[in-house]
Amino acid sequence: MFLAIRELLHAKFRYILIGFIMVLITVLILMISGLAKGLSADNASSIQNLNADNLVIESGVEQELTKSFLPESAVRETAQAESVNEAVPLVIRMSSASVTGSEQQHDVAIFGTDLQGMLTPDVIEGTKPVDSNEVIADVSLQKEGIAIGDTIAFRGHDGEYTVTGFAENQRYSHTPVIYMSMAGEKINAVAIQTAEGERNGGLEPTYDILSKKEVLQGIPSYSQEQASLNMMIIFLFVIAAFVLAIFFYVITMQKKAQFGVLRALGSQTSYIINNLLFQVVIISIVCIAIAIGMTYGIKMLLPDDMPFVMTAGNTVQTSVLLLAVSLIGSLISLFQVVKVDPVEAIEGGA
Amino acid sequence: MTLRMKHVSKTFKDGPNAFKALNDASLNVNRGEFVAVIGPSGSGKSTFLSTAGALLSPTSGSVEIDGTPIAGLRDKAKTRLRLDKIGFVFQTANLIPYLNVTDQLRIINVMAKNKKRTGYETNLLNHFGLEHRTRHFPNELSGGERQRVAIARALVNEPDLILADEPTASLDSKRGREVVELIASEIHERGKAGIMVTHDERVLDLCDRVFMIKDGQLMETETIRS
Ligand SMILES: Nc1ncnc2c1ncn2[C@@H]1O[C@H](COP(=O)(O)OP(=O)(O)OP(=O)(O)O)[C@@H](O)[C@H]1O
Ligand SMILES: [Mg+2]
Repeated sequence: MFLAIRELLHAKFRYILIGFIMVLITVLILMISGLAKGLSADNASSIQNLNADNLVIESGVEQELTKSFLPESAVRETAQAESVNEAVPLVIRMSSASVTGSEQQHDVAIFGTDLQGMLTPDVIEGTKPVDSNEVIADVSLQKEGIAIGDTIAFRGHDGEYTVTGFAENQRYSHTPVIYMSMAGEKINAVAIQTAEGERNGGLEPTYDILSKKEVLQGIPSYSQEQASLNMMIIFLFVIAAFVLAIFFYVITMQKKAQFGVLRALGSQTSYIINNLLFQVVIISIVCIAIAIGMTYGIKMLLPDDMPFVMTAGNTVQTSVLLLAVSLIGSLISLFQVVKVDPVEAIEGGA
Repeated sequence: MTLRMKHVSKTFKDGPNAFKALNDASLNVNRGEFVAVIGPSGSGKSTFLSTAGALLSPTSGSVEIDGTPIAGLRDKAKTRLRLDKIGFVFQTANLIPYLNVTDQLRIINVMAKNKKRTGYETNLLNHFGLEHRTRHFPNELSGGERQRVAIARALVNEPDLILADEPTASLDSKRGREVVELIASEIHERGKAGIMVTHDERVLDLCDRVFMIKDGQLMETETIRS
């Protein structure tokens, strides 16, 4: 890639400029997708990590878990269905918690279930509850000052409960989740574990059976949040493609006479195209690498409780997509190269 | 016989109109022979040169370069033929702006995937008095130096045929003559065939034969030679 490298070095300034724009766009894409992932986890990690295959809810409530009300008997009824291996109740209540003797209120989402059942998350600290007045809390509550052994009371809920352990990634509707036992209440859903490949085998049509994905879409604000962020990401990809396309188009137009000379001197079109693609790939890779570095740096500076999640898989996916978008953007320049007529080199002034 | 053109015509179609820029031109050029082509503007000189150099396909007639008829060649093969057998010198030097003098020559060998000629590049540059300019870029060279680099570039692939379209146009008459002298001596000493299109009648004494084009008609002329 004799030509490509020498040109990049010779015309450093213009390529640094375009690189700078690319880096900024890439950082923006990575930041927004990190935020989308972060917000998604903050809004629904408890559902995403729920140890259940499907949720059985009241039919006709449009996937909204909190609008579904089932009698407790639904659990037994569901469990009897042939394909269902395990069924436990799930009650979701938004509430606020306060440690005994403290005025401070913490917004929480109460997940009521059978704590001996499958839904109870693993603790990363402390122990699983044994008694019905013991609870597990999301670890973010620890940062808010709640400790293992604290007794807490919930607004709109009788009794006092003891925190025995903390679990990871248990957030719902941007609030920490507290798992407690609940009995004798109207429940929102029955979480079921089904036999391989089965979905609603043998269940009454009075129920809707939702996958966890469908439940996520039913969480108020979840899909709107994700949709608007994804829209921004898509726009940024399009912008990146256009910026690169226009840049390389203009540069290629400027170099057409030069390419004519090269063609007259005996350069194949493919040689020129390879050099152009090499430049696009080099610039994209360097910019993406710098942008990933910068985004990691920014991530370090962000406050801890900022919902921002940057996974390797997501970063790789974004990078590959950007590279593909850059190459697509350079297509119109390739057409210009193909159209170069070596005859123009005779008499033409490069 | 390095270049053999037989009854070559070139017609440009411009919508419904057809324009015959080259009309039944025949010409043979041997090794060691330097041919000049003169003629008024628009007479078809560049068209003639482009046809001789496998840049344009003739509408009728045949062109053979070093025994290869170019009519049957695909685009790719024609390009390869230019790379291997033809050296072009253009009106303006047409150097690649981001390559230094050495790289202007190296690019030809890089494209030809020929690594053996590396020493040859340096020899050529020394021979043309450019040894102190090897790291310079085109915009740092004088017009004469640029044209000398362009001639060196035309020679670096050791071509059989050298084609020059008004190589002196951007130079004053003294520099222009030096450049033509250089081309002539390369052609004579290295046994190449050469064609030069020119406006400058003062350099015709350096050529072996002179042709005149008028309205696309090519004819040999003795009278102009002094
Ligand atoms: N691609 C083309 N399409 C149509 N007409 C063309 C084309 N190329 C050249 N011509 C016409 O052919 C004629 C000969 O052109 P050519 O460039 O060969 O002239 P020339 O002798 O080199 O002139 P000059 O001395 O000005 O360079 C001109 O009238 C020109 O307008
Ligand atoms: Mg001309």
